[in-house]
Amino acid sequence: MLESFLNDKSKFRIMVIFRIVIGMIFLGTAFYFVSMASDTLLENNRLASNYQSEKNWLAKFKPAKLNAIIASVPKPAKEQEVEDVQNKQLALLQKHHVTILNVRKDSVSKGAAPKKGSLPFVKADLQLQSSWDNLVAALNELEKKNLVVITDLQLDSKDGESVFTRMSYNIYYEQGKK
Amino acid sequence: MVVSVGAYFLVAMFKPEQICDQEYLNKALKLVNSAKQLTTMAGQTRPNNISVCKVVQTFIEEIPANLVVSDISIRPEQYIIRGTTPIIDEAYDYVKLLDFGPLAEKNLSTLQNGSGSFSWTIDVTFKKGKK
Repeated sequence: MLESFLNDKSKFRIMVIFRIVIGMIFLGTAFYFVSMASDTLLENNRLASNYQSEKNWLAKFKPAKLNAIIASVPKPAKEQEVEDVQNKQLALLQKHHVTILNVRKDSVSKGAAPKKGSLPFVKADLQLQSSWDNLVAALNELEKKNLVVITDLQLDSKDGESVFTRMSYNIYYEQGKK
Repeated sequence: MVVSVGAYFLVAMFKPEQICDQEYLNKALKLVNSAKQLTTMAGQTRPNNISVCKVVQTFIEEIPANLVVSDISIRPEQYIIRGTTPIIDEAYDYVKLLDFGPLAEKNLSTLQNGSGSFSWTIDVTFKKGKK
């Protein structure tokens, strides 16, 4: 039967082949659209779920709380303000009756070269004399106003009353921000 | 084929829409990102993530009445506190009260002085890992 079909030279054979080809194209197209519909449906579900979770998150979002956190995080000084921050730090120590015996502070140009992706800083080394209470009060304020980080602290008290302190801290700043 | 094409266009037509204020959402996300950025930056500037002020506070807050502190040394990798006491048990109690996290290893060494008082040294080091 197949042999006689293949030997058939009439239009019937061409029509059959043509219909088979068209049928296959239709079938392929149908599969393609079914698959597209399924993908789009999944994407729509994902979007709907995202939008819903964004809505829920936004309902719980408290900007005031976040603003308070942002305000409380110490920020790096501007490059031109570094000297001023250094002086303010020393004034803060004096405000708490901490005697400054010796100060060695870097300037912006002498500051350590920052590692890639990290903030530049200038270092200060101090020698101080004070009572325990005054020192603790000063330390509590020292890191609060700007991005100042104490890196090393040595406290010596021979009599249990006054404390001799050696301290190093870094003042971080944003390069080029004036 | 008609059914599948119809199904596709039907699904494509009913794309879900944002159900909250997009502008407000963008502002909120921006705020969250800047808070994250600031806190990460502040965290990265601390060597080994320590706050020297908090360490001093921990040392001082927990100190018993009879313990006299003679010196404290705080470096990112090691804290040392030394002092004297007439009652050695207070030094043992004190070291138990100091809490520097699960990675801290506290070591107390004592020495009896001629006068009957004791010198004590607490050495805090950290196992490898994030403090």
